[in-house]
Amino acid sequence: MNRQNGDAPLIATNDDAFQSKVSAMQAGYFEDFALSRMAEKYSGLRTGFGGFRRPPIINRGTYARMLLKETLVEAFLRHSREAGKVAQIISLGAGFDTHPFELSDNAKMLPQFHYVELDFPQVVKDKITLMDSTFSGKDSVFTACTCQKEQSSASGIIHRKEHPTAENTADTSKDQSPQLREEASLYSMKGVDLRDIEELSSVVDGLDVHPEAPTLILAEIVLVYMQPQDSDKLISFFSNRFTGSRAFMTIEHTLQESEFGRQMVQNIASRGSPLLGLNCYPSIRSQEARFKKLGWHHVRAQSLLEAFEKRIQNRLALNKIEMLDELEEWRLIMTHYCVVCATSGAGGVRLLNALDLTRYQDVPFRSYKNQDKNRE
Amino acid sequence: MTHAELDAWIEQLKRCEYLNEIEVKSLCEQARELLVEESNIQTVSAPVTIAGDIHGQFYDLLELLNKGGPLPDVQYLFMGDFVDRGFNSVETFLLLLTLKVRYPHRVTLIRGNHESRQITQVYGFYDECMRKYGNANVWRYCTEVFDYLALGALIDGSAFCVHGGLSPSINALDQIRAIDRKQEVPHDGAMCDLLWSDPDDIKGWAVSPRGAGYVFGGDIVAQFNHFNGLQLIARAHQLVMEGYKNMFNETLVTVWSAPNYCYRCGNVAAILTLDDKLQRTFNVFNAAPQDARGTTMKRPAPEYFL
Repeated sequence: MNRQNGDAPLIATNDDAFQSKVSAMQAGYFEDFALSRMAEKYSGLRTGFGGFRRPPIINRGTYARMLLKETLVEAFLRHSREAGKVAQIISLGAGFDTHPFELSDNAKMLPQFHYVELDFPQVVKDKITLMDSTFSGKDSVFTACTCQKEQSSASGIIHRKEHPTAENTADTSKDQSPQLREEASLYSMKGVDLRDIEELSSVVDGLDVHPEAPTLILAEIVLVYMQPQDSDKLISFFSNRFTGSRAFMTIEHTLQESEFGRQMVQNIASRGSPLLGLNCYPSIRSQEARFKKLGWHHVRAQSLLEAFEKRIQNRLALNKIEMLDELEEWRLIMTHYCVVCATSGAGGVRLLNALDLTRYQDVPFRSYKNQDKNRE
Repeated sequence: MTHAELDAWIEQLKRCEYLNEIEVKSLCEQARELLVEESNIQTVSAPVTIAGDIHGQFYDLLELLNKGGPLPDVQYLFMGDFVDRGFNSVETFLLLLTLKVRYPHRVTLIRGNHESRQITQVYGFYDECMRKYGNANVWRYCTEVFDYLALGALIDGSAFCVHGGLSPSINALDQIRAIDRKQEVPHDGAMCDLLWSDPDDIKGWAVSPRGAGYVFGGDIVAQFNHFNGLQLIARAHQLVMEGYKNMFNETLVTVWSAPNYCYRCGNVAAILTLDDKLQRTFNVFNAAPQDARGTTMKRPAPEYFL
């Protein structure tokens, strides 16, 4: 089989997720400078696409998925401050994610980090096209250092903005715009086929990452599209490759042996991107056992619904953004996804505790952007 | 219009071919003339077959009519949510409306929370009208009809049918009869509650997580039924995987008539028949088979988080 063409439906799942994020943003769930700039250029990249607008259930679920992932990234970064090292995030199948650029908007709360994104070479090229000139320039949060589109590779610096404090805003003579700080974080993006563990291994070797530094692996609805033997290799590869405090976070579908689950398998297969991992890991419990088996000693797995309800207590307030009429369907779809957090290494239990969503209950989305209101 | 002309429209619509703009305008005018004469709580005599949400799932509506039996032999009562979500809200609503005009005493249509200007602009009916007609006229004619739909129905004085449920501001059916219904569904108050509320295993009333209407318990249903001499409240509004759900000792039932809702949920659907002694029979049915569905149009895949 021609892998290139065979992978087109998988690549299209990123487009779908990107469009849903833009839709959720336009519905008012959040603001995102990088995402809105990329959305403007997107119609040039994919001519004739059907528009960004999605139904409310998809908007809210997309928000839920982003909120949970970003909360866990933020929790990991805060927890890693004490290590005194540059924290590393490796995002597998990152697609057109803009979270790394949003993370620039902090000053004191987060440590320096290195954010690595890996995806199909074609996705990386497309992302470079969308970012090209968008984030560069004088006021940019991001400066590209190397950008080799043909090699599907880019790296750069994510600047750290510091917002004026209440103290110095009283002095109107001072410039009140955010100041870019000297210390910056790193960003790398690289094209790789995640199913090829040898290629992945050499790509990771070529990255400026350190085995003993605190490391978070992200796989947001990625592993489930792979054959389980391939995704299993990936999970154990990262548990061996890094030796310091480390965590693996994944979100993916669960079958739950239900009619909804069976219909989901059928519908998603008809898009050409079958959920290959689902028969092997159909439930939340099987995901938990899987990570334990593959070298991650401490695991917390829960449904997307349970995780979201832990994170957001005042859910009624969301109706002010966009009303959601489809509550029964909401519960169905949200219980057919799970969030898994797994940790390993010294302090693995403490790290898993730090990734407890209830600690972030009702903290505003992207709270690091508004440091004054942050709880420590 | 003659019966023959209406029958021709019914045949056309049953092939999932929608009417043109001028025809829709005429149909909606005729429907409005009928509906304006109806009470807020339409009186119905058993036997009758009751259906819940349809949501633009046109081929499943045909399946429902097959299961339920032919008009006018069988009398039908549809409890709202004809439009939005599914692929064919236009054909679905126009077919139901044509059947109403053709058999005014054998078809009762009551209003659901989706029969609203605001909701249809979010959940698909407006977009579908724009796509099919290139302008908003048909959507406007249809939403004007929505304002005239009854809010409920009373079968033989003892089974009350409503889309959503009860309202804390309503004790007596006569209070519903006094509402001025010819308006867009309000954001709160009795009319809104009737279309939005849900029963649950609680005591009394609670705020609805839907953001409109209330949640009410079995004690509220018992009081309401006792006060109004009712045996049963039949309502729709909530997806039930088994097609129907009895609650509170069978004093309330939810009927759901959209199988495999949104082509995603994997549920079965049901209709409820009350015979002339008000004995209940549920008829459970599946989604229309693939070969019964039109294949001319490319369907967008149901959405997930990918």
